[in-house]
Amino acid sequence: MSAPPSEIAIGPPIAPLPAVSGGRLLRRVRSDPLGLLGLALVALVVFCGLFADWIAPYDPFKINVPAMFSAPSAAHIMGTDNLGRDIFSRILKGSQIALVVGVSSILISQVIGLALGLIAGYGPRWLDNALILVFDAVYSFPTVVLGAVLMAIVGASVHTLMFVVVVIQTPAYARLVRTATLAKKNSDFVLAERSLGAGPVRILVRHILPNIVGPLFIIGSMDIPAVITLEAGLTYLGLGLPPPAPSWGRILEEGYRFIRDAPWIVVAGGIPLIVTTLGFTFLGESLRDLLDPKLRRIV
Amino acid sequence: MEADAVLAVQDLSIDFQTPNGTVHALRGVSLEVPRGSIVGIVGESGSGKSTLALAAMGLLPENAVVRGGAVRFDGQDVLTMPPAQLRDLRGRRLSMVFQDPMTSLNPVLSIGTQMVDIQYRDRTGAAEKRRKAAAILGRVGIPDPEQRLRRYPHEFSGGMRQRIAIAMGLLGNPALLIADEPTTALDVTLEAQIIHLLRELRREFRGSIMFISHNLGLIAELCDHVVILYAGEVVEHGTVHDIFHRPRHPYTEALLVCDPARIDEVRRELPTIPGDVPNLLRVPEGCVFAPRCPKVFERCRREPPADHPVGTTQSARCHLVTA
Amino acid sequence: MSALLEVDRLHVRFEAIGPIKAQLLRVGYRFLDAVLDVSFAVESGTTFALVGESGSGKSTLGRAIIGLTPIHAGRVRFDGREPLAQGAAGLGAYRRNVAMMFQDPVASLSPRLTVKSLITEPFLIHGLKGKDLDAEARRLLALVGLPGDFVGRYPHQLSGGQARRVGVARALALSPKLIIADEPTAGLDVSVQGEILNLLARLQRELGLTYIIITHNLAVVRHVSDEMAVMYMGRFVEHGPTSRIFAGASHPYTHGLLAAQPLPDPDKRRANVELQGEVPSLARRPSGCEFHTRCPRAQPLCREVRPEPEPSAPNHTHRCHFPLTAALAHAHVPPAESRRIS
Repeated sequence: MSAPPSEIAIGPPIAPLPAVSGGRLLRRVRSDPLGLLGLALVALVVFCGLFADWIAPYDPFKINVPAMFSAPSAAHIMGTDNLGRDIFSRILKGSQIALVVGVSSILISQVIGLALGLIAGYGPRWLDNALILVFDAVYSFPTVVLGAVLMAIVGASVHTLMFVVVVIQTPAYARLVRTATLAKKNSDFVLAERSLGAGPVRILVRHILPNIVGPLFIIGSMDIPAVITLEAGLTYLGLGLPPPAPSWGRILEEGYRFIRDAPWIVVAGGIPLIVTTLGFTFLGESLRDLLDPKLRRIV
Repeated sequence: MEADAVLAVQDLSIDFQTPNGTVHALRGVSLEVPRGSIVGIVGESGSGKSTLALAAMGLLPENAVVRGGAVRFDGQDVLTMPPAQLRDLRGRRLSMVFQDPMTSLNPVLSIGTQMVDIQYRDRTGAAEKRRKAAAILGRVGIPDPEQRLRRYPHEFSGGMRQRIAIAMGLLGNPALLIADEPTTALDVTLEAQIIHLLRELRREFRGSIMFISHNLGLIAELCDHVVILYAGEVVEHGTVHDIFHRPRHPYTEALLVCDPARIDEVRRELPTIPGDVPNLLRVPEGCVFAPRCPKVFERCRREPPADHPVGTTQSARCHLVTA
Repeated sequence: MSALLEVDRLHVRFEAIGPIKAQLLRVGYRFLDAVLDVSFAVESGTTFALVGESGSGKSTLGRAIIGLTPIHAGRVRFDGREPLAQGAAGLGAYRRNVAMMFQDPVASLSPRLTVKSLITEPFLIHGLKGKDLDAEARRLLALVGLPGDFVGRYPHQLSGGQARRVGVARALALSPKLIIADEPTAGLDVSVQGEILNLLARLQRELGLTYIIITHNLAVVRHVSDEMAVMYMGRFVEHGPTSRIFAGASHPYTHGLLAAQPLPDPDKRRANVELQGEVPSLARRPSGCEFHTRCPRAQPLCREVRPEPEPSAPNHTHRCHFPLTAALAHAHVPPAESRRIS
């Protein structure tokens, strides 16, 4: 029994989520400045998304031609675009779109992916093989092409976009969940539960699921910026949300078109993407370190 | 301190920084490995034996803090040696065999490649190095050694892999081989073979072995001297006969009493040492074994005992031992 | 008195290669036989030890008995019935009467459940309603000598010994008749091994439990079991009362196992190693007596004919053409000396 000393004889170690006590959480977060920054950035984006309609100084859709191409100033923090619309207000409104599309489509993909992954991992071999075939087929399709094709066929709208994301992301999560399920399937505690007479549903829901949900959640949170960026990319290519929806991709696309006249538009469109990506990534990594005992940082 | 001790641990104290506080893993540990002898370190969980092994190799993790003392290999302190010098020592004069042979074996290289790599300091040619490798593989009981050099670790069974790990440890003809629970993961028949092998090899290669285990039977089979570690302290040491026939520390006595292989009459109620190893975040004030000692008295709880010599070869850290 | 558990010619095997691949590669026998032709009975209130090294099949046998591993041939009879042949209903009742303790005590506890949930899960699984789960959990903890406030702990907050006790508590939840313990002392320090063994002994006395203990630790087997069987590559090579086998083993493998145990006494060092080599792979079983490749007493006959179980004495059987005990009528002591180190 030669366990390293840091793991024995030190009393109860930090419990996994959700049993982390508030004090320990605070201490951990304080020792992780990037995580704190990530949390702050995400909070900022969420705040903007929730209260966009109230804090936007102007109506994002209001056209005001005389003010078009105004450089950033006191009246318009980020300037105006080619139709005189206040860019800052459009950015704020765009955060709503980003969050709705990003968060909800990831959430839906995770739920479906979780269910399929659990079944594939724990169920009979033939079912697993069949599901893997489906996952891999969809997964190996190039993302943007798939998105573009679907948007073109079905017609561009928020719902189509969300559908695209769900189709693309679900196989990835399903594979992840499947691998984790396979790993847990043969572990001692599952065997012990089976010996007590537990059936597959109980084992999946009560024993396997809680042990894989944590990492899944964190990975999902780190995928949110990817989805937002995907939307931006599709819209930039002209295949995303149609105008006048002020999605960040739309702003970028317009900004690029008018880069000679109003270079600030492109900058304005890029900033929220950077902020969101950094925020979710830092936060996600910080949560992952908290969750994974092997990466437990030593003071 | 005798001049012919290949390894001398002098009053070593090591702490670990953890999120829960400071763990005082080793406290005032002193021991010697004389040249050409086999010293057994007996320790159960929480004793600090792995920390000791790592300290001897200079392989302590980053969160380890050396609070005091030294680990002298051939007179020089391993803990303060410049890294280049330490690297020069390891694999040649000082080597280690771990509990899991896959710790020493790289799964993607053939064992021949690995065994030749270890000899990188020698100026001889590759063919000569392979010859040496095959010779020592044969010595540890691997059949067809020249052929087997081409194989990969996963092609060998657990017992074979441990033999290969031992062969790699002995390739440089080290002055000291540290074996940390080398047979714990093996079946008892394989264990017996490995112990027998070590006994034979020591006659030939004339180095010393520091053998770490919780298995008293193995220690008795193999070792000349024995050191008993409990919760980070050396509570007793002596020759193997001193320890097994004339133990003076209550923990040593209790360990021997609890070993089912020593109990002659068949009994359903087996003796145990009640309680748990103390939490090393807060070391108790007096003797570290006091909370569990069957012979404890008042002084034990207040005052930590000193090391009391018994005869010329033995010493126990207990108030009950008078000179 | 009919025994509590009767196992009759059990055969458990695993697929080594899929059927299509086996056809393509022209492999003769595509299975690995983990348990072969095993028969024994366990009387109520006794302790039976299954002894063997890795690859012997002892853990597989334990799992087959409780129904975790499918059986290929043979029968398991419990309390006169055959629960494994009766489908889901029979299995449910069987699982209330037989419980298993696993080798790694912490890993066998679902990591995100509290001790209370873990111990009382059997009640939920078998639909036993109306129980005060908290009270039951505390009762079970008290039975195994753990304080009641452990109910809120998580598995990673338990020491090895404590986790083992929780495992015992869980096994006791439905008041089973038989407990199968897989390596109950693995990973425990010698100074605390006795605690778990003494606990099991006390529970046996108080509750009339029957145990099957699966272990490779012969020193412990000698003290805690009434009857034992030694397994090699899936078969019983020796089977009989523990005291009798320790007094004089019939089979060379048993003898070799006993001789390989190092004694904690420097004056009793073993001069030689009796058993050389390693257990052959299950995929390449030796012919005849499967132990002949390592047996110090092997004769040409051993390579050709597989020995069947034969009695050394009443209740004591061995599978060997040239068993060790010279008192046997049929024993043929070959010119090769029989080194008996006592």
